Amino acid sequence: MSPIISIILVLLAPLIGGVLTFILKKSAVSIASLSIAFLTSMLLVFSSELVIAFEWLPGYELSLRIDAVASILIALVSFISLLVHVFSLEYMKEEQGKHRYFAKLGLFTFSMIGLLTADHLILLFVFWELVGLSSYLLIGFWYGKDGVPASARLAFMVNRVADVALLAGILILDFTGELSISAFDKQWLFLPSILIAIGAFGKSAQLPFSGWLTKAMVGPTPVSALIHAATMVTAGVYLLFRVAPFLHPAALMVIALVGILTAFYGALCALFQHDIKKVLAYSTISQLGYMVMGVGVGGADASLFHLFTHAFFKAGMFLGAGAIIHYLHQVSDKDPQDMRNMGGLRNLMPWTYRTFMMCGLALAGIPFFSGFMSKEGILIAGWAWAEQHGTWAYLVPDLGLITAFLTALYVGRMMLLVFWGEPRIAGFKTKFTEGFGFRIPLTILALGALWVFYSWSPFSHYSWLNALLPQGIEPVSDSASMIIMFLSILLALAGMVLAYSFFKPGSSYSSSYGKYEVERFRLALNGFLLVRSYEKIGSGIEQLSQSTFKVDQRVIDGTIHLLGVWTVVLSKIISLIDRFIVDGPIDLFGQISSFIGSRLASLSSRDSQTQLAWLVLGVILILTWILFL
Amino acid sequence: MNETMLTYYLYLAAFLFSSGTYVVLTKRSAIFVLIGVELMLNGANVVLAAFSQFDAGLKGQIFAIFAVVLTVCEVSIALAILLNIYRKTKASNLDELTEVGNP
Repeated sequence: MSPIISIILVLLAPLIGGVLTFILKKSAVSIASLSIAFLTSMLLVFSSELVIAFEWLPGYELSLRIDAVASILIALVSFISLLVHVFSLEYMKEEQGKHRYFAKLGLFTFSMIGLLTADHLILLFVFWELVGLSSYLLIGFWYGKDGVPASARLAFMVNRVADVALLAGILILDFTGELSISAFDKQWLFLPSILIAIGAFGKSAQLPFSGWLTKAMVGPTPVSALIHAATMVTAGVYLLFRVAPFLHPAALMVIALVGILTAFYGALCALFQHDIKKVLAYSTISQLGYMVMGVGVGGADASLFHLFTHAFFKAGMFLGAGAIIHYLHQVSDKDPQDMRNMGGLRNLMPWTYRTFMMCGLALAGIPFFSGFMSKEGILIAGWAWAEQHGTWAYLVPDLGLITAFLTALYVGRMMLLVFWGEPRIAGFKTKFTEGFGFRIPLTILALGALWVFYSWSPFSHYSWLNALLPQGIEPVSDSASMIIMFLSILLALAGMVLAYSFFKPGSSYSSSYGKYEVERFRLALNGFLLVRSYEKIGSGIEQLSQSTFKVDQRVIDGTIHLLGVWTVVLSKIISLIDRFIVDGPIDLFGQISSFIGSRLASLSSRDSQTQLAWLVLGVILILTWILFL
Repeated sequence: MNETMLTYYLYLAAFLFSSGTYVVLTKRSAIFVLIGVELMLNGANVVLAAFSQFDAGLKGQIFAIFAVVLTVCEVSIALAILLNIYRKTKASNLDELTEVGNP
């Protein structure tokens, strides 16, 4: 296939499918278009690198480039998007605006694939913004509901703040050199490095931008699965992966620290949530923190591997949560996302239970699941990095291990509270019929959480994926990595055991959980007031603007007003001088001329004979002059 | 014919010219103005004829005859124009004839 056709098929098919779905009101169109995109992307994985370039402005050669990394990620995005579309067919069946929903999903898939194909940073920025826009549109899908527009706006604006930094970074790079990712050759200075990292932090919900991701959970749950867990939030990690070899060392250190702090923060907050989607959102923040840290410590390909595995199991968990929410919405009118209203769902929705369990074990980092392998790679890279940077640097892998423990703990808590024990509210009698629209995506995603699709050995942190990468590291197996692996298995199992002993059916926590008040642990529940701090920053900026407005009004406007008054006074004086001193003589001359003119004018008349008489008189006078004088 | 006789001729010519001028300047009617112009022309002719007595070739008299012939043509054309104007505008007063071309 020629490059143009491939690009059109893989890039524009989702968009066209979405638009056609909206026009024709047929949801199947978007499924078909995504299948086309997915099949094309699979072809691209096995074909050679593909480049399309066109000149935008003189000196700005915008290029689309699909190399090995991009093609794998495009396949991932289109595949998960396809599964989410299938899931949404059933999930959104009753929804009024479901064609609008599919159109927005199409726009999102188009933007995300565009972001992955873009080679030029300006083009990448365009798709970056489009991704942010479609995320905003999908978060605000139920715009009639209370608080949804505000949440969508918050997510959008927080992203914009980070995007300003990204744009500034791109502009600085534009002054100093190339803008095409494939044309980078030398290391960047600190400022553009950190600015681009901040842009990536915003999209990947790192501290201090994490707040928007939990707010984004007001959107439909399949959207959360696709955008806010599997694909869009990984755009930041993808960008960092692309530029990692050129980042300044100090910026890399900042990235590692921010990443690990975010991972710890997310895991800690996830432990205290009651809203099932918020648990998953904080867990996503935490896992993204791992990936970002992986880039920072020089394990960019391990991060990419984790991105890949995480996309599967987190999308699976979100879709499972979607199924649960769908069910609770049908049987009761209480908040369907609150885990205090759940419990005992194991027997009612067995399919969801099994798939959710598999994905959860992958998230918790239990061996034989994909999450374990990819997380290993990041932790080992962190350990190797710490060995080079001195004692304090061990904070990074140590916090990573603690986070692994917390992850197992909150995953265990969530699964025990949701699926085990007895139902906490009445009405949980009817068994939920999980249609094929639910079963197929859940099963595929749960299978993706198994180790065997990435490497034969369940303890390897080096997958077939890494072999495709250009800068792939060779697998290391020294004593340190063995220790790390042993420690993380131990910590994950310990977290699980601790979770079981705390939250097992019949324990004091579990039996009283339905009446649990939010008063305790409110700090962690609210994500350590991160969103509140946005509001404070916002109102602070507003107050600052108000006061500068007052300064503007009083000082600057006053000065200008005074200046204006003085100008008017001065002009009045000049006008008086002009009128009496300058105009006077001129007027006098004018009046004299006018007087003479009017006298002379009265001599002549319309009457031709009078004129003739004057002529004769004149001739006589001239003759008299000549003859007698 | 001596110089005394010439003086009388010149008095006559001056009288004709002056009265012609007077008629041109005072009369309102175009016909009278035309008559005044004729008087002035004839005054000039008299001067030409009188002075040509002192010229052997009588060139002045020949010129005067030419002038008379030309005047006849001129008067006939002028009268025709005036008649046409009168027919069109019903006006013969000079001051009323202020426009050229089709009114």
